[in-house]
Amino acid sequence: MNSVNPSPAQSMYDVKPRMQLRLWRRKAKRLLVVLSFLAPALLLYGIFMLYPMIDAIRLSLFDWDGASPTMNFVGVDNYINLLKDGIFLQSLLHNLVWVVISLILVVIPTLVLAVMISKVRVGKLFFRSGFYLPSVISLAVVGVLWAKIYDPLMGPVNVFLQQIGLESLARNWLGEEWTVLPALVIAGTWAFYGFYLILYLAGLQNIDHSVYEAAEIDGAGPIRKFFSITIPSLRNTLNVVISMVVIYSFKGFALIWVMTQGGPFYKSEVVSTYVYKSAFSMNKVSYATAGGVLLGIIVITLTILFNYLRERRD
Amino acid sequence: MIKGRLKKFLAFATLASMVIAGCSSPTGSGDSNAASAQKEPTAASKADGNSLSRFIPNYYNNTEKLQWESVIKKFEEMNPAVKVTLTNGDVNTESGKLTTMLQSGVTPPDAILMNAGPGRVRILSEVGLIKQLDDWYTQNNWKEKLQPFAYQMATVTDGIYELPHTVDAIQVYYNKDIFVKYGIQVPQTGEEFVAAMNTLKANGVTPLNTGARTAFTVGGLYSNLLQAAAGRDAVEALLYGEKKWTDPEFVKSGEMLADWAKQEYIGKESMSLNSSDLQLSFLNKKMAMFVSPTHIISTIAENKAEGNIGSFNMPSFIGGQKTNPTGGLGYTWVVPSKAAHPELAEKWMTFVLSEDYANVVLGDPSYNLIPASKAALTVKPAGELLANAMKEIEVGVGYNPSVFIGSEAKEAYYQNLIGLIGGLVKPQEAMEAIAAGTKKDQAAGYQLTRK
Repeated sequence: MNSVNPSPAQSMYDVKPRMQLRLWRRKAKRLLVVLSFLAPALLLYGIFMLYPMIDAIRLSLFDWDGASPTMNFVGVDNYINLLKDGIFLQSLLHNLVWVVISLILVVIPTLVLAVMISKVRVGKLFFRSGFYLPSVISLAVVGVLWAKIYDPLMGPVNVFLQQIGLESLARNWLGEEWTVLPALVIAGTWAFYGFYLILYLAGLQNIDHSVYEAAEIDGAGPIRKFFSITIPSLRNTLNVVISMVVIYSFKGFALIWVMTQGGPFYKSEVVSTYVYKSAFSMNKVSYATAGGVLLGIIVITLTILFNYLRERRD
Repeated sequence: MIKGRLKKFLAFATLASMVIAGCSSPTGSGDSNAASAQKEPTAASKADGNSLSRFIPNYYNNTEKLQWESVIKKFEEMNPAVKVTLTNGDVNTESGKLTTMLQSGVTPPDAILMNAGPGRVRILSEVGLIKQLDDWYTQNNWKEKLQPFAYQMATVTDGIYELPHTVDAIQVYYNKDIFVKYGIQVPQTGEEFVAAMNTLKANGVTPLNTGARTAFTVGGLYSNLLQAAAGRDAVEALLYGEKKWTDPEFVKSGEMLADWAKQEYIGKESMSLNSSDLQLSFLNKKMAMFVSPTHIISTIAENKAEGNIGSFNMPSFIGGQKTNPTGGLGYTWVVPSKAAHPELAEKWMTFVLSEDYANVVLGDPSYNLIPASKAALTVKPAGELLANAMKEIEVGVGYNPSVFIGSEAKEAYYQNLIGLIGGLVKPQEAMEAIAAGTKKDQAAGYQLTRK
């Protein structure tokens, strides 16, 4: 009876689930649309990024040589051994040194350079292109080039020092304990200078010029304007540059491999070169993977931290 | 409507093809285990059945390129149906490139000429990347065609995975005019050798150099020094696990290396040179002596410096002992498990042991390698320096440890030797580090055994 002529109260109860169903359908449809747009990127990201990352974590829990059909499960032994491995820890320390030197050499000098270029009235394009040029050269070529520049006998650095009477400062740049890492960082910085410069120039273009004019009316000099307007306005760009410098410093491989292969006596060994040697020269694929995972965790943590700081400020 | 469907179809097809391409990428194949590595060549590869592809070391100079061209020409004359293709690259397992290439599984060559030695070959064999060759040795009688030393060196571990191509002879090469200028005779004893280095140093000439940026050059120098300081028998016992790197005679050799660097008998610039820099530095007379395998002969020939360069064995520091060139095997042939034409590789490898091959290469005065075949012993080399090296190894060959030690020990070996030259590590610590590496290799099952 009620099913044929439902009471008003009952029909109200029946309408609610129907509305909910409609609402749910609409949501599902929207989700489907969103997913269909995201699917290609998500699929590729999943296959080429997420899957290898997850598989790397799985591999790091085994003892595997890279090709044999059997793998022994060893749990976190690879991680424990890595933390006891003096060379790995030394490599990690070198990465940190690399980060510090890179930050010193890149963040402020590139910003100053970008400000100077932005002030140039004639030939701005020339300077932009000129400074960007090293960024288009392959890192292998950069490595060979700088190895020649650092050549202890014929390299222009030592030749120049000798010619100006400072031969006591001439060094075996890639062969000495205290010079090899800074020498490599300088070469690496040179290769990426242009890239960071472009980021800064883009940031500078976004600063409202009227702010500078107002500051000038108030009597602010160039240094005051730089610290009180330019740097605060470039906060986000600075954050991006710093985070990229840090991430690239941890990821750096090609340049070191071409120039020193981690030598002499592990003095330029970084995690990426050590991981590569472990995996492909010593067939310790799982051990190397564990090293890679640790490096990945450090890089991801830093990336999240930088993003968090930027968003918090925003 | 049709247009919309077409778009959808195209989008789907693009996506599907990308996914399929991604899944069938070399890293995604998952087909790298030893069992699957033994698969038969595919139909497609068989269709190209008369093409033998080989992967060989990078040429040091154009002379080497011409040498290979003449060898290939001879092979193709003898096998008209076969076309030989060559690719050059890094054939060191130390750099990891060879392993990476084979692990990728993408069109491996039919034969690879790589830096020899059980320590290196094992990196590929233990993971099934190269074919075991015991059957080919039996079928082609290769044992009888190889010099006994070469055969012995290729069989120090279980199973044979390589066919020795050349025997190394690492000696001291010197600029004759520099020796004449400073009244230095070819040293006959260790003390005379040190005295010669002293004289050169006192006259502002760098006696020796090596190249820390190409680690095997450091290994070559040290192999000579090690034999001179500890004796060939002691080195042999060390490599067969009967002695330890921390034994006094080996620590002493480390002390000598560190001392030579400290005294600047070994130039400071060694720390940042590579092998090409070294060869040029030697030929430009920036250093008097250079410890090198015979590879340098082609560069000497190319620079037309044959008349001014001589060679000798680094003399012993142990009274009355005679020394040999150090080495072991130089280059060796291996066959990738996934080679498309293993039968052609077998044919080629049989050819390199033949007298025809020996006649072609040794008839060239610029040829710079010592063939590992017995046939080569019957041919007189046209080049004087190579003839001298071959004469020396007929008496005997010393050991170059880097050819024989395992991967863990080798990494420690190279880094610590470089550390000794750079004054970055103490000799005792260096030897302990190499010993620790050896221990790890032994724990992983790597140990030379006498047969």
